Amino acid sequence: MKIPKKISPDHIKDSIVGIRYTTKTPFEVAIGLFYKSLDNTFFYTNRPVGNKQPIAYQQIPLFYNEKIKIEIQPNSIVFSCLNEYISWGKFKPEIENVLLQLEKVNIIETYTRIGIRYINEYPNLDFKDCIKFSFTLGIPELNSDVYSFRSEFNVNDLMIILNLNNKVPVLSANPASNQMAITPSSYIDIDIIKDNINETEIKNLISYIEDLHIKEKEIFFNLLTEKYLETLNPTY
Amino acid sequence: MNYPSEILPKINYKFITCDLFNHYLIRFTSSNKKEDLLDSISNQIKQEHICSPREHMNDLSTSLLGVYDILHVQIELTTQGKQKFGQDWIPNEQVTAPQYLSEFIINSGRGFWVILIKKIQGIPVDYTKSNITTPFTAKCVVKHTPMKWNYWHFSIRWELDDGMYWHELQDKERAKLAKRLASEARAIIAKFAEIEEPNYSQLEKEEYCK
Amino acid sequence: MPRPANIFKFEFPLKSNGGIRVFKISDNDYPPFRYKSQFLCNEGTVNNLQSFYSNKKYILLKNLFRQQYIQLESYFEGINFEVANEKMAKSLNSLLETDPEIISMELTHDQSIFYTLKKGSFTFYLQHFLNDIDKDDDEATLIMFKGDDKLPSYAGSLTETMFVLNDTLLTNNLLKIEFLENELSF
Repeated sequence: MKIPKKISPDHIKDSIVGIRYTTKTPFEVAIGLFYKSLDNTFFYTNRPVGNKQPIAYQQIPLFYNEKIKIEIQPNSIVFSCLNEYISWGKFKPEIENVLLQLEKVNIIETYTRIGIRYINEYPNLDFKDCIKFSFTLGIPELNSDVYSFRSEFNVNDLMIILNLNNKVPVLSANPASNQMAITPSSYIDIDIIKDNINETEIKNLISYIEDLHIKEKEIFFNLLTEKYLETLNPTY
Repeated sequence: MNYPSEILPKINYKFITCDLFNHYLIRFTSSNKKEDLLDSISNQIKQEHICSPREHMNDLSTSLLGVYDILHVQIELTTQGKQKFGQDWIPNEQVTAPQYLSEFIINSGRGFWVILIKKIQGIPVDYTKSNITTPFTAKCVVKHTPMKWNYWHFSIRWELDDGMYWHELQDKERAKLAKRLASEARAIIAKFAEIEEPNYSQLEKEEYCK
Repeated sequence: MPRPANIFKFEFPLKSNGGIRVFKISDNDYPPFRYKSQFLCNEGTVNNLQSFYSNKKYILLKNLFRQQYIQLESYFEGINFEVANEKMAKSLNSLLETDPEIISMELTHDQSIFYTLKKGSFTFYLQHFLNDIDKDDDEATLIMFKGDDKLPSYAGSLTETMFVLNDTLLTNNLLKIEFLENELSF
């Protein structure tokens, strides 16, 4: 199947890239060095975990610029778009830029795992004629309206976690009014992980990330029916 | 340009005391752009457009939407105009019309918010369960307070449980309640104010004419 | 085979929906996969989406606070940005812990942060006053609506006010609670 370069609307609720790393540097020291290595286009804040005021026993360090946010944990760096999805063409260079800056402090020993997760949200959509997924039960007259499906499978050396939610009731704000409303919403959530990579070079890491992104797109677009894909104005 | 006479008080007018539950109050805002007026997350009117720093939340000026319509919010009194026309109108008092440019101008950049009187009139304020030195109750009151420049001027005020109004209290007493009642005013207007022109009607003549 | 004891989250049906169970999308809440250890799920890229989205809101609102402080700086004499920022982090974090569907904030010219929260059929307005810099716990007011009906308000310290907010949510089954599953019940 031909994979589009772009669709509109893309319905992307979130795109997340997570990278695991190893280091011998204690985290409380590492975060200070990371802070110093990032240029002044990035802002820093931290968020107390839990509500044990006035002393917070744990803080989550958060970096961000206008486009992306970065959560750095003792063994992981998680990137996501701060507001709307900025397109892969803009997201990937942001990730690379950050990794190159963090590399300067020379404390990350190896990158051990990468993951890419895209969550697509479709308010008021029934997947029935939109995706190539269906299931039957022993009782033929039973047709499921609302379902949640989770599957994990391995393809080559990738682990793929697929979540499909069809018309689950979700409470959200009605943009036309001040009221909250329940909207039956469907989700396609694809998480692809490459583990045990043991990588030290950023350019190789970026290459792996790109491969995962291509795989993500392949799975996503192959999941859609041709008819539904046409309604998303694909460009090739 | 002539001042709109329909909003000036007339000798044969009286105070409006009838039920106004299904009428709207309108107040001007400094911008008429939706993105300036509404908070994009909550979809409610922004606090900065409820009341400017110079205004007082304890006695918020508005107008009754009806004869005073959406376009009238653009009328802005000059400093000279405020000195001459910015006082309370007394029944039977004859007033002259403000003069264009010297006493009033048209500010076309103004927008508005409206609020249904039913939503706020009598709304209770209850701070009796609070951990503060002076727990109290109060209620929101919409009162006709005609001005020389605008007969349709109404005030959103706060009546305390002893019958006094917040804005009438001495400075020290007024300040004690300021934080709580100002919060109430902000919250109530944020909750119920809208920036779209509603369907509205004019008040029947017998309600404001002798 | 006996089911192992698990800590799991149980979300009560919202009364206003007449018993419909409403879900938030997060790994921990994915129905029916609440019992992670039971189903031996693999760990994904992000395992707690709720916390992840909450952190996003935290950043967006902190950013907004910084922009608004700059715009209103002249009204914040005597309260420097760092102090105000730290105070704001305290109230914002507490409010985000309630997992509201909507949260927004605005700085006011009377040196306060005015928060709007929506959760279920409730709307909360919390005003956090920043100008008592000598006190450890700032003053706050809380105004609450259920639908369009106004509830009694609260004023006191920020900590007390947050307690009242959380209590209101808990009383109205809008807060998740965690409890240990009893093996014997199966």
